Amino acid sequence: MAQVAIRNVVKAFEAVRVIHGVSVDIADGEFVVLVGPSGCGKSTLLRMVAGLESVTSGAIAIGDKVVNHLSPAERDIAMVFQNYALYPHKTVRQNMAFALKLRRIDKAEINHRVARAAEILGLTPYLDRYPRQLSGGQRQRVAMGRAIVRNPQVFLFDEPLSNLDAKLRVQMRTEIKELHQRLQTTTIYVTHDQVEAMTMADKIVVLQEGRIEQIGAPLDLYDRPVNTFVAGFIGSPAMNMLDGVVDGVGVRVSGALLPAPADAHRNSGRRVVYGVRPEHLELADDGFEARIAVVEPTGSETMVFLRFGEAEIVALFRERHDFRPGATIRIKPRGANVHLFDAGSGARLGVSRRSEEGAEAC
Amino acid sequence: MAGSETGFLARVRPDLALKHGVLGVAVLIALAPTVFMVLTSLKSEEEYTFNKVGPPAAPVLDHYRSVLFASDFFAWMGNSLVLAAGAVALSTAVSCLGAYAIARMQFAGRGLLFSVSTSLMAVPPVVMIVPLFVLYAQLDLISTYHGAILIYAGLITPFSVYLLTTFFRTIPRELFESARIDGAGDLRILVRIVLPLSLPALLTLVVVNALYVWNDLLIAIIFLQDDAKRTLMAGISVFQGRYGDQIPLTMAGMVFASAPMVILYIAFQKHYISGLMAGSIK
Repeated sequence: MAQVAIRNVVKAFEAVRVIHGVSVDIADGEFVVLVGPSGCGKSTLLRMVAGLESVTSGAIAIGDKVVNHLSPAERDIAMVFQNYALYPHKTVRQNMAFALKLRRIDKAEINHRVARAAEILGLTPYLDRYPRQLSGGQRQRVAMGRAIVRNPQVFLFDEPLSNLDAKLRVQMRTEIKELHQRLQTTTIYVTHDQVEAMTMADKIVVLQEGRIEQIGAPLDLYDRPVNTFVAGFIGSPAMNMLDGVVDGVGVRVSGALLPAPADAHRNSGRRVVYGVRPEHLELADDGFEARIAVVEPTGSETMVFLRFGEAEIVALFRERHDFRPGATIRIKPRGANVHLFDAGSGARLGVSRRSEEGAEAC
Repeated sequence: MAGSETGFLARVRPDLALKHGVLGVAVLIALAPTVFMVLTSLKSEEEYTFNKVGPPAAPVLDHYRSVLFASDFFAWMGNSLVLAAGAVALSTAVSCLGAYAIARMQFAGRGLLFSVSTSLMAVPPVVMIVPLFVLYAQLDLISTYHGAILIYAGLITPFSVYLLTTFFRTIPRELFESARIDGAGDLRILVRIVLPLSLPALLTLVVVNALYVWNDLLIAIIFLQDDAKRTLMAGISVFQGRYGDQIPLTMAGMVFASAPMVILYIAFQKHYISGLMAGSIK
């Protein structure tokens, strides 16, 4: 196990820069998720850590060693690919043993390690099968087994659950998390799915267009997104974002004066984006008026799509109400759960934890 | 009973019938020369003069006996085997290395190399005969096994590189990357991962290339002039010259000559495992 340091890493494919000086520190044993929309550079960054892509400038260190010029095999990492990349002509056992054989580890030790990994992953009955004889979830486990037997410094996962159906994905998510808690191996995990990121990570790195938008613990990102991109990306359904102007102690949106954080008055007159999460809206007699467009009950909660002036708002209620499309309700944000962002730059206004952490510079 | 009859009628679908009809005609056309060869080889010289196409009235095996015992049949066959095996082995080894590099390694001129190699497929061997002959005469390579093997290997390699490159490219990139992370170098990836997965393509190549060398007459006649180095095809073709127009005898020789290739083909047929790649990804 080892810490991983990514320092000012740049990746360019000929003239096109796809990663613009990214720095991330990953502590020993940490589970870090790189998340972002497709094309944000998260997979490229992971592949650079793996040694499958060269580093244009900057440094990547595993443990205390800069690995920029080491081959993938010399980096002591193991990688799980989106499509598993199992060797189709080798059995499960041979797939797991291949890397160990290449390292000339003796046979008894190989057998021991394969047996142990198979037991952890519940693959013992399938050791002599070929990948084509396994289900998607089992293949995924073999891919993980292949990583485990090597006992590497770092696990790298490249969207490992994308090929699985929704139910299996949730199950494997838990299994990977459990595995990490058991082995405590430093892990870098790439996904485009913010739910995966939120549920699995110790630390999330949100990337967009080759730049880091924010680094932090899942709930930090949820509670205090540093800009409109992170605010919109983390959380499902996404945060409501309304254009408004700070007006004294509130924010004027579509003619209504909405409650604002206590320090908002310092920005009076400023054009802002007013952000409130769907689950932080509640019915209130002193709230603003919105017309119900669509009601989507799921049983555990009800999602309501509302029209508020020009804007569309989503509200999420855990309690059941008798909502009718076309009716008008009064809602307001619960407590101080409101986020203000600069209308131009999209950056969060007011004191944020960002300045305390200082890790978001990019 | 009536039910089963309508069931049968319902099963005869016009589109399938048409497909099968077309395929049936194609099979007949493809098999006609073989049938002609076998039937003719069983006719006596006399019968062949008045019965060219029909089945033999009184089948005889004399021609087979003549081919086996009154000619250098076994020596010729040995020569053909040496040439086919040598050329196929050499060409396959070279093509695997070349195709791997073209398919999976980054280097300047990769595309150009592939284009040049592929375009060589279009060059007819005949145009190379004269310069090659002059060169071989100077190098003292006429009527040598290794000289002929070199020419054959050269002629069949462009197609082999083309086929293998195309095939290697279909192997998912992640398998190469995974093997690299596991600690395998290029040569090991080729031997341990790529070649086992390319078995269908490799066997196809062996059959096609062996067939080409086995059936070739042009190179064999020009570059292997020594009687002791004559190939089977060259040997059989001289039946005609030496004994006048002995078509049935030639056909008997052809039956023997085709046998190894038919056996090779049938033997490898079962190795064309469909879905060998299944399960590697997704």
